[in-house]
Amino acid sequence: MKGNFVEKAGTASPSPFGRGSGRGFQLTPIVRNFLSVIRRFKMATTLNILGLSVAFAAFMVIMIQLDYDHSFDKFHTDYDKIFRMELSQNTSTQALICRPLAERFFESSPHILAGALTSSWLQPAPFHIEKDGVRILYEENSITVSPSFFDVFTFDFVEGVKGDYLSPSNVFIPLSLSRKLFGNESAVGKQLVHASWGNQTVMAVYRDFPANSIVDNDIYFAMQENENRQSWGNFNYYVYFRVDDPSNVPQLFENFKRNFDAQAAFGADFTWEDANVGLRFTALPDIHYVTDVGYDRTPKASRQTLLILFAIAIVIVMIAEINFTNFSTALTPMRIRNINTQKVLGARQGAMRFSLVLEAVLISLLSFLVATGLMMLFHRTSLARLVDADLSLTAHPLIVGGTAFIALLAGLLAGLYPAWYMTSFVPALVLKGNFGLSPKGKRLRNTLIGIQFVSSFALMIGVSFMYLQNRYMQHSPLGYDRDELIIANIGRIQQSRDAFINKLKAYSGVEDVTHGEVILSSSDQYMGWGRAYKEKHILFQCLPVDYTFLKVMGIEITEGRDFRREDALTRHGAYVFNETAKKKYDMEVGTTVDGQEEIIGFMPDVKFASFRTAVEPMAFYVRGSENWSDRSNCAYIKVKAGTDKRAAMSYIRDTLAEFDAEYTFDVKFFDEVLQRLYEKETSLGSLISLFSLIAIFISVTGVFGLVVFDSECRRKEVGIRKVLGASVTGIIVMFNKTYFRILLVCFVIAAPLAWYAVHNWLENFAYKTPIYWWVYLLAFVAVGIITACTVTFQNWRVATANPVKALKTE
Amino acid sequence: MIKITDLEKIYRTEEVETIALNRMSLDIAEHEFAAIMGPSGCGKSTLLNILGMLDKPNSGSFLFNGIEVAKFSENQCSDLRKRNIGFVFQSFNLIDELTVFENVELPLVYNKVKAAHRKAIVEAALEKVQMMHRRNHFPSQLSGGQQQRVAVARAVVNSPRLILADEPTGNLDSRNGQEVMELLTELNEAGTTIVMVTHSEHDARYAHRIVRMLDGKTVLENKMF
Repeated sequence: MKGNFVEKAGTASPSPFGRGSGRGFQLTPIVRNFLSVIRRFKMATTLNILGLSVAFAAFMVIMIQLDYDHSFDKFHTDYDKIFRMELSQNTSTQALICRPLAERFFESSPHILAGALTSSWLQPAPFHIEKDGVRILYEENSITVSPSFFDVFTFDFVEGVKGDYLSPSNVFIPLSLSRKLFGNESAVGKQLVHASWGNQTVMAVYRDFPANSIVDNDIYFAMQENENRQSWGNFNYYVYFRVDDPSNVPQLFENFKRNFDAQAAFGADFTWEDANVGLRFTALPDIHYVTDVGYDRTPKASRQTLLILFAIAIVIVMIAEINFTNFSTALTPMRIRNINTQKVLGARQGAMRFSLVLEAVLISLLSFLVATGLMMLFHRTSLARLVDADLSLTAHPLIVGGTAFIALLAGLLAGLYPAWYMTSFVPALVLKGNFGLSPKGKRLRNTLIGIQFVSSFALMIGVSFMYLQNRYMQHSPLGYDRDELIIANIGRIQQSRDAFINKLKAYSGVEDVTHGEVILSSSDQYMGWGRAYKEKHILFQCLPVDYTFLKVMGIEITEGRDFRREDALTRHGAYVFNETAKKKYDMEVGTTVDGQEEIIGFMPDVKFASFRTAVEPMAFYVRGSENWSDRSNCAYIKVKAGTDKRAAMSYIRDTLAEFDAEYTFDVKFFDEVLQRLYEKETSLGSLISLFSLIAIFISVTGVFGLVVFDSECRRKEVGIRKVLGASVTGIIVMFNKTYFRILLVCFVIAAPLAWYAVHNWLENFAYKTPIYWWVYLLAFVAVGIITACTVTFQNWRVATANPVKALKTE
Repeated sequence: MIKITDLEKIYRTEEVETIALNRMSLDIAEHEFAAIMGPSGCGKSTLLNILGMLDKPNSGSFLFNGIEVAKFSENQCSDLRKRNIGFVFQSFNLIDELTVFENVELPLVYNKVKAAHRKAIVEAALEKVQMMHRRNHFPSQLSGGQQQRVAVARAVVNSPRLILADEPTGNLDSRNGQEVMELLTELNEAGTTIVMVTHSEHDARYAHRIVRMLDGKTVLENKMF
């Protein structure tokens, strides 16, 4: 391997100058020269192409992802004129609005061209279609909207038109679904048969939106004409509107306040100022980035993360370019004799420079081609799932073309300096003398290696903390028993809930079963309830549960008592609040909320929501007999320790099938709930880890290449030292020392940089992993071991070689 | 001091077998100054490398101070070499990155001489070759003759009993060459055994004895004194 790095004696390359021709250079000899250079410096060329192509591929993947997020929702005509209405009160803002408020708002200004509501209930709705007399069951997301939804957003209709009548029984479906349901037949006029809602007729088919949109490819149908039309307290809708000119938006709220009779809507003593309530409008492209809005379920990206990814993309390309330049200059002493021989023989300087630059450009462009191949390969692996965007090359001509241009520039940059440098010597001098390494070149190379070490350290430390934070969120105690827990969505068999639970309890592997309306720790926040307590307005997140919930989940009671069966028989039900609520609202056991619902006890602050948010006032609530809704959809099944969990799982599935054979129930281990909750961090972490690893890999390639080069150049020195009595160990130690000095300096630079970045990133979380010192140590040891292995491995042969041979070569 | 008997060294490549030393025998006494001469490829350098324990013979015996070293391991050779033998090369072989002082100091470092003692020893050696004033220069800043004087200082710094010189004047002009030969003569007169390979009849005349080689064998020995 090593022999290939260095020019082999006696393999003189064809000269790059035009033989006897008056022109400056001819292409054929240059191409021949290029091929012979690749042959001669096999290892350097391989390392170059490997490093560059991986870097270009990573760069393209990252840029495609950045483009995906950057162009989020920007394909709508007038995307900059579409806004979402949000309601802010005190310090919090929510995306859910009540219908009458939205509709009054739409009417308040002539600048609002169209306004639309969508229901907050996006649910998979089971239905079937009849095909050749056979019923085929499907389950697809359906959502109710106001018909003006299609005036706000830009839909491209393939069949039917937007003006077609949308109603609760007439639906618009996406083209993909039309294909799935009806193949190439026209979908218009076809029937979707729902068990509960009756029949729906397909009125129009729209072209699917790309994935980077808040508008989903769902089945759309109209909300009931009078649904919640006058319900001022029912905040259950997302509201979007389109204006004539975005510059009018800031005045909309003031204008609305002037023209709106708030007292008639919210009570005689309501004022916007006292209630500290306001409307906020977020522009459509910004919705993708805002995270301070409650009940906002649109896919998010953080600008900070995108910035990190962008930085990594730049670092990767930079590191690869550094390697490339490094190799080029490192090979100088080995090539200079050959170049000067050519000069002596009459080669023109210009032609040789051109040939050297062209060589670098060709290698760079070749790497780009390999990179496109790598992209296609990456596209097929499971890793591609980490990227939201479509990775096909044809979908991103600009990014692919841009990368090709960068490849060209990289080639020029890496080629120019060595080309000028190598050809600038007086030939006679160099031919005669013993051309060593110039200290300047060595300094440059050490600096460039340094940049690579610094990036490797910083990335390694950053990635480690990202991993630690994810681990911390998924594995920290939650304040309740989460082991051996299986969650089943039983919304579909609500009527037979008790029968189902009893059947499960009869199974030997099941310890206990309880149920609640939502899944704990599956979201950043839950339904907020505004109530009166001690003549004050209080706000808390409420999770209605079965009376057995706390017992089954192992949540202790710190004051008062646990729920009892009798609580469900009372008229208004009962609360157990957490410590935060108790402190914030000065609550006491035995008092009532809204003058009717009793507080029976308190519990510690369990982590009911994600670790991103701090624990807020929260309550478990057992509904009384007079409840307006009982959607206890989630069964919490506790499996006995030591039981085969998979067997228990299939027993649960079988039992559910007994109640409804057609429906596929969502049954999962509780760990999956947590995984899903932190999916964003996990996939982000994986993405950043992947690209960091690539950066580190390319760095290591660079260090490896330079070590090989360095040890080749120091063969003679090693020979001298050995003649003077140096041992093999001594030589290896000497080589390692050189690199460890650089490593140490780089670590000192990288550690505070990494600390700063990690510290800032952790600010995103209410609960943070500690910044452990040993992570730094680990990063140093890891990079140290990699470097030491490379240095030792590469220098072993040089150190053990017979010094006579090294001294003979002049 | 040195006694080699029936020494054989054969270089083999896939196609050719070259006999560098053909059952050669030679004795060199303590305090002797021997010159080895002969045409290119006659085995001079191979002989010198084996004497310097940098290379191993295929067969035959090599007694160094009465100890058989032909079968010594590399570490044993290295140990013996660094305590007993100094080298002077045609191309000086100084390390470019190290100063004159550091170059001369190197053998002491490898002989584990304490840093506190090293300074005086190095300075004495540099004094001997009149290079003290250049102690902080780098080899590239010196003339060829100066470099070779530094190399001689390096060869003698740990007071070896034997100095092996491989064409020490080959890269020098006549005046500088003469200075180096005079230095070697002084060292020999002070008691160091010297074996020198040379092409120069003029230089060979400094030696007590000239060993002439051809095709890996001694063909003639001239006693000078």
